[in-house]
Amino acid sequence: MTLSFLIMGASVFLVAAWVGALGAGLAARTGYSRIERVSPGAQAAFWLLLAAAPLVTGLAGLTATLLPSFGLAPDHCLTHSHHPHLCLNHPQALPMAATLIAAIGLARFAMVSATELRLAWRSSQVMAALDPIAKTIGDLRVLPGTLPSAFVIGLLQPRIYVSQETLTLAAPVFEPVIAHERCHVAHRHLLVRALARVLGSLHWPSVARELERRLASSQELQADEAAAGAVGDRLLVADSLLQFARARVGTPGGALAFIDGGVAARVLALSNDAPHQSSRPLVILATAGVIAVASTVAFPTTVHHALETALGWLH
Amino acid sequence: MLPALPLLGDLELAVLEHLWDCDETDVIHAHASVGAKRGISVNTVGSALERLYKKGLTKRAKVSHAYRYRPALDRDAFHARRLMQAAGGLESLSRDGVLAAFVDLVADTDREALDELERLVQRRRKERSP
Repeated sequence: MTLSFLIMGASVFLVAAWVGALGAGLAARTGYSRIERVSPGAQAAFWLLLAAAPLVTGLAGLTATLLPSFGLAPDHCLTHSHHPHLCLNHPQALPMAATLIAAIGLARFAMVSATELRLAWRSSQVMAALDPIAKTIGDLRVLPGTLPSAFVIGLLQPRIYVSQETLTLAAPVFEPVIAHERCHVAHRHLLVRALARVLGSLHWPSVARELERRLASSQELQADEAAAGAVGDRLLVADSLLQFARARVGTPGGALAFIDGGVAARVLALSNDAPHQSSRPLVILATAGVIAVASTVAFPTTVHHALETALGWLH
Repeated sequence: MLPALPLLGDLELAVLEHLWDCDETDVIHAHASVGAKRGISVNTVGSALERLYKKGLTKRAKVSHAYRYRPALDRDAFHARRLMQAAGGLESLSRDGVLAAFVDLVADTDREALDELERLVQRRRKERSP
């Protein structure tokens, strides 16, 4: 397999992926208000699916284009000479456009992956700094400190850290906190966010950032719902949130006068009844996705020709 | 700005804990407290004390032919500096989305907004109580 074939393959994948990214961006815009009717866990799945959409369409497009090379679809090359071809049977010179596209895609993916590796290393450094001063109680690592705080850190082996002050609070206040953090650990939320960021390298940067932000918000709401289920009272979780937020207002740097959309949105969500469990938006999205992918398999020649024509336009 | 505290191994931490407990020690007493139950030699404990001295976490003075060590930072000061060091990293990691906090470590909420949210929660509680 030659280098030019690999570069052509990468460029075909990326063109198909960017079509998927465009579709995902449009779906995100139209789905924002509707998606709030489903449970936070389903919302999080929706944002992750949209983040993965370019990968799926990229693989589907690449597969459709390669089928003739393996005799699984009619030979395409001899009948269309007006655009480049990705073909094992008819090797061609590499168009400049393909090299440029592959370079852009690979550079972006490498940059995002390197950032994730750096962040994972920094997380491990911070945990190495905290662990010696933390006391382990069950699955909790308790840090000295007079400010109530609780957080999860670690991608592959997430850990819950809480301040000593948190454990001195009344049970109705700290139990929702611990349940909330345990949900993050159980569902590997930080790893999922990292995966979404890497998948986001195939999206337009502003779309990738918005998808990650929406995913993180959904995960926080999901953890709040888990806490509400654990303690049996949604308003207790809201009370805990407010108590923690109020403790931070008094700290240095806590005097800025703007509303943290995160706390307000979460308290409002907890103050209402649990969201309607309708899964219709997800069913619609999943159906559209299946139809799109099935089309590439059912009509490989059309997809194949379209992708290679697009490469020809860019040349 | 205070320099960053160095990372410490398990043995170094155990020796430091022993120093905080007794305020002053030599290699023999440190080994009796920390090394014997780990099955490690006096020299190994001595090396740990030496490393702590080079990292600036202990002071030492020669008495007869042996060094006596004292902690350079007390336990609370060490923990406080460790936490402050970690806090800067925590806030940065929170901004980068690799840390999930119960309440966002870096965002702030004004008191009026919190008061309004508390009134909302109280209203909901009254509506739901029989």
